[in-house]
Amino acid sequence: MTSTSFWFMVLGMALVTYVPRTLPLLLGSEMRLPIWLERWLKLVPYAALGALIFPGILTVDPERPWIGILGGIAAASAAWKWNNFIVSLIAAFLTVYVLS
Amino acid sequence: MGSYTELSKPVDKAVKNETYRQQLWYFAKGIKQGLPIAVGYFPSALAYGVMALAAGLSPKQTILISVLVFSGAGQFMAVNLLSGGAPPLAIITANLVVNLRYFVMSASFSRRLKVNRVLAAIIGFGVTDETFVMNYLADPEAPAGDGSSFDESGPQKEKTAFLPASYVVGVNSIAYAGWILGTCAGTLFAGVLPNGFRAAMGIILYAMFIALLIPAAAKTLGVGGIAAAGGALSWLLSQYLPSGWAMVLATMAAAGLGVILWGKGVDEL
Repeated sequence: MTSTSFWFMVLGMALVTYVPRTLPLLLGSEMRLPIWLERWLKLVPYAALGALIFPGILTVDPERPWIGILGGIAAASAAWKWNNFIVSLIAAFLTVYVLS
Repeated sequence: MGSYTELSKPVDKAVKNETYRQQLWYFAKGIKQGLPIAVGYFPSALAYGVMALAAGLSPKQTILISVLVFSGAGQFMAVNLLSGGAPPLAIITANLVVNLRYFVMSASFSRRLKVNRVLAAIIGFGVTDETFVMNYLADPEAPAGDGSSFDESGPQKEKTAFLPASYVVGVNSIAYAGWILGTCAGTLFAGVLPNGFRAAMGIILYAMFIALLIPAAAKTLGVGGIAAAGGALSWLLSQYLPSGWAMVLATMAAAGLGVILWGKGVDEL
């Protein structure tokens, strides 16, 4: 990756991360959006999580896609049972580590 | 920008009357509260560092991204897409889409915050999934360390008290420190980690997403449905498009579908 395209990527990422975080704090609670847009924004995180997890999780071990699936099931079960971020990460990590 | 004038009003009395010592006390309190986040970030950031080097970035570039971006999901995604050969513009667009959730979080967070523009600009940088939850549910007046300062009643409880800015800055700072230190450790130890260990790190990103999704889906079934639609569309589109764009389009379409099918139900979320 050339230095120019690296800087373009980093500064672009920084911008599209910083602006959504900060803009609502600057505008305060006065901010009003059309109702459909507010609903859409509310659902985007969940849709994004789904689209990020699948089919990407199959590429954890591209030769053996089931390893990613089993790791995901471990993470989901741990999250369901304990609702704890770190425990889920450890459960998934150990599952994949043991299997591969 | 008419809404800006609202901010020039005098800030809430309780917040303004904070003396220097009080501010320091709240800052220390925030650090204490945020420490578990930092401890959790360390291994995730370490994994990011390892993967970034594997994707061809230099240690300097890897750390610079953590310093300037500070977003677990976004950085992991960038590294993933980068190793798949995606162009920078696709990476930025995919980041924008996953980051829209920050917009929603900061919009609710703003109800607990009354600060000037400079502080808003500083606090905004530190809004992540974890710091948001910690700050939003916090009761800074409760004694630290006994667990009671983390309010378990959840967001449905009316939150009216404004948070001291120094407390929020404390929580965000320690989380940021954990993220940076973890990244540095990742770039240092990438070479010495055993192979299986490195391979297993690939799952951490997905485990993170799953751990974010499951509690929400368990509470509201529709949320799980939206995520499932996003996954199905993303898989379908990835047959025809590069995975970055497939993910972005699938997200926008699945959320749109949710708005159309669910309508008013979304407001209850």
